[in-house]
Amino acid sequence: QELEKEFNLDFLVNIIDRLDWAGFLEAAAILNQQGLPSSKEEIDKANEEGMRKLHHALMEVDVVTGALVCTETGRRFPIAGGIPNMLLNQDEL
Amino acid sequence: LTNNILCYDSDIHQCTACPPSQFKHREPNKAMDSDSDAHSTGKIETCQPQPRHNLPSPVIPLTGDDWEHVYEPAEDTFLFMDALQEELPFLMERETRTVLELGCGSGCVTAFLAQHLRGATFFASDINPHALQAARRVFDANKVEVELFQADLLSAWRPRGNIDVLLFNPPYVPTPKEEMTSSWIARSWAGGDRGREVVDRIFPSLQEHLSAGGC
Repeated sequence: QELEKEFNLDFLVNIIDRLDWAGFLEAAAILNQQGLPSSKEEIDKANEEGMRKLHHALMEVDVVTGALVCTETGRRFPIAGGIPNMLLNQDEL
Repeated sequence: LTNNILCYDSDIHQCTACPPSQFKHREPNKAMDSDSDAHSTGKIETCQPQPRHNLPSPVIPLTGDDWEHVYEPAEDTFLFMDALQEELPFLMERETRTVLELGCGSGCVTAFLAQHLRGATFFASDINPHALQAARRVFDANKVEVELFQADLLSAWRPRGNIDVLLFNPPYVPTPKEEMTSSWIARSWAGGDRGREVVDRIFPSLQEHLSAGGC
């Protein structure tokens, strides 16, 4: 789903600091979000259009039904109602 | 966190209906085995506990059916919110960016902090699927944005030193081991051996999860 959320530059900059950028880009690509900076260093806070695109990809696009796939093992963690289930099964512990 | 059961004295419990002699006190270092009431319900028996914090509490649009499977806010919940209210200036001045609550239950502790601490991104998790549904409703009712996920404590969070504030009101009642997994609601209080089995699981990796000034 894509839900509009209030654009807040400071908030965005703060959370970017905590992001695993490579992971974010990969997820964004899967969700068809294009034109994002390829590294944190390339982010230009003064470029409003770029920041709004980033805001959209990060804050406004949500997976409601789908899965998170572990890039190392391929293990799927289903997402339902927007909530990922990260629990392991008995035989995986 | 203490090794022992919290002592609720009249300073914290502000029930106006009960005279002080009716409060159940618990001395530190005193075992709970003899107190079957607290052992079976996981709560110290009180009536109409009143929160002391004066910032507005979150609205909680949950009903009796919900409380069958999800921990109903009680003394310890309000104590947590009181403490968070007191720490708000501290949390605000250090630019808190990420907050994660483990075992969020109904979500009201995170909802409370999210209402009053602006600028941070909030995450909340629980192992109990009923808790997650309840928390979603609490967050929506209070118009706070919180990323929810189902997980067993920190097992789904890669230790990257990226948590600024970790919130956890763990199950702390000493119980037999089997009780810990006997039902969803039991998970909210059943702490196994010395009441420590759940909370002790987060300490080994805590250092790698918390950010430089994380708490």
